[in-house]
Parts: sequence; C-alpha cells; structure tokens
Amino acid sequence: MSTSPKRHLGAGREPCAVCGRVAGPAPAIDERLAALEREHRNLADRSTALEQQLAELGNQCVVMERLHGALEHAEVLAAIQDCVINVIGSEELAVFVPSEDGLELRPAQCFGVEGRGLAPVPVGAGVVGRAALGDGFVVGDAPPPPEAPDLTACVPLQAGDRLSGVLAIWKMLPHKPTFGPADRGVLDLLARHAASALQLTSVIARERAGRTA
Amino acid sequence: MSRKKILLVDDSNTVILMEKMILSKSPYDLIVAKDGQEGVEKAAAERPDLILMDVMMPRMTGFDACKQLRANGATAKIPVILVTTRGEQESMKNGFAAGCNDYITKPINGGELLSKVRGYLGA
Repeated sequence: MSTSPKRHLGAGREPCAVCGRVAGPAPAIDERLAALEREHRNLADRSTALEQQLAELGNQCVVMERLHGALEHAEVLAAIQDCVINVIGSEELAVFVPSEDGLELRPAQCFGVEGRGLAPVPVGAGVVGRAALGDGFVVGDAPPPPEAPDLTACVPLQAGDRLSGVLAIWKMLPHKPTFGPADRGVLDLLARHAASALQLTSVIARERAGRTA
Repeated sequence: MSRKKILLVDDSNTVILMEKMILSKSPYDLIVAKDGQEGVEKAAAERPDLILMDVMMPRMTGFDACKQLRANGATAKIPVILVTTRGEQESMKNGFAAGCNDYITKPINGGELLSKVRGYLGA
C-alpha cells in the first residue's frame, strides 16, 4: 500500500515545489471542516444550555435545603424571605399566614414593604385573599391586578388541600427587572415546599406545647 | 500544590449555600464567616487567597469590613469581591472607595461568579 502523502490531499491538489504549500480546490476537506465547525457550535450551544439547567437545578436544591433544614416556624418564614431575596431577586415581599379560625390572613414575614401598610385581610378579599382561594397571580400569566400594578406574584403556599399561607412578591431588584422561566420554577418549588415545611413546623410546635402543658 | 482558599462572608445561609454549590466544583478550600466582624477576624487568621463579601450584614457591613482589611498589613492585599443586591452605580462607587477589587450582584449567576473567581485565583 502506498503511503505517499499526496493520496490525502484530494484530486487536483499538489504541493508547491518551492514552498510546499497546497493550493487548489479541496471540496472534501472544506466540507468536512464546515461540518466540524457546525458540530462544534452545536455542542457549545448544548453545553451552555446544560450549564444553565445545572445552575437552575442548583438553585432549586438550595431552596429545598433551606426550607426543609428548618425545624421552627419562624425559621421557615425567614428561609422563604431569604430565598425570595437571594434566589428570585426581589426585596419587596410578604408572607401571610392564616389565622387560627382560617378566616383571615395576617402578614407574618415582611421585607421592604413597610410603606405598603400591610394589614390582615379576610380570605377571599383583595389580591392576597383571592390567592388563598387558589386564584393566584404570576406576572406574565395575566395583567397585574389594578389594585397592585407592581405585583410580580401572589401565590398560595399550599400542600395538598391545606393552605399554609400566601406569598406576595412586589418589585424585582432594579438590575434584575425580569421574572423569567427559571424564577417561575423556583417560585413553584418554593410555594409547594414552603407549605409543607410550614405545616410540619406547626405540627412540631403543637407537639412541644402538648408535652410541656 | 496547595489548594487556594476562599473566605465567604455573608449573613444569608442561602447565599452561602449557593456559593458553596457553585465553587465546590473547583479545587478551592472554602471558609465561612457570618458577618463583617467575623470576616475580618477570619481573614487575619486564615489568610485566604480571595474574599467574597456581602455588603449588608449585622455587626459590621461589607464596606466597613473592606476598610479594616485594607488597613491591616496582613490582609491588605487579599482581593475582595463584593456580593450584593445593590447594583446601582453609587453603591459600586462606595464599594471601590472602601477598597474592594470587584463586584457581583445577587441573585448570583454561577457562571459569572466562577469566571471572576478564576480570574483572581486561576482555574
């Protein structure tokens, strides 16, 4: 078998006798190069998408760890606040919890909303009250309610058919004005798992109270 | 070769968890402090190669902690990246005036954080 290097250059390609460089058409090599470049770009795009997905999963892991690592009701509320500020990116939020008789929602954890004069609301009344009945709001799904035009989200914290509270988020941080799909994923996870974490810590508190009574 | 050491200074457990998750993929040793005062003390004791510093913290803010680090010969040269929810120009100017080297806004973007850390410490 011949091992001449000329075999690999393709038809019509001859090295220059002076400088040794190869001139002339090389369709097979050019096509192969183009195909490799397309494949490289494709792989780079997929790598970027995977990195993004990994980052989002990482954030969701952090949220789960924070919510379920708390054994006190107040710690769960603080964890919800921390996650909204540092994972979603808003410093205007409030968590409302139901009263003992379930007829009212009271602001239990607030950050950056002192000027809004939040007060207890009857279940079913206003944006927060309606969210408690399952009629929540997330920006992008519908226009914001007229009584709260700068609301980003108002969602029930619900596990099964048990309502643990309502989370309201107003303006996003100035340098992160958009509430995107990844943030929606975090909010949905937060709403479900915050509900069960709040319920669990309430059960633990009642048990402790029962033991010390 | 010994691993590079990063000091994470933040009063938020969420941010510490996020930073650990992002940085654990790389060969760094991570130390944690929960406020500016503890951050200054641990920086002097541990001599990290880089500090990621929150701004709004109890006992001592990140700006004040930065100034103290710069005033101490032992820690004056340690690069400090401020990690904060405040992305405004004014806040960034305050940070640089306090002596920080760089700035990253929350919520933290993992790729951006890794890129900056590697810029100061190498891959």
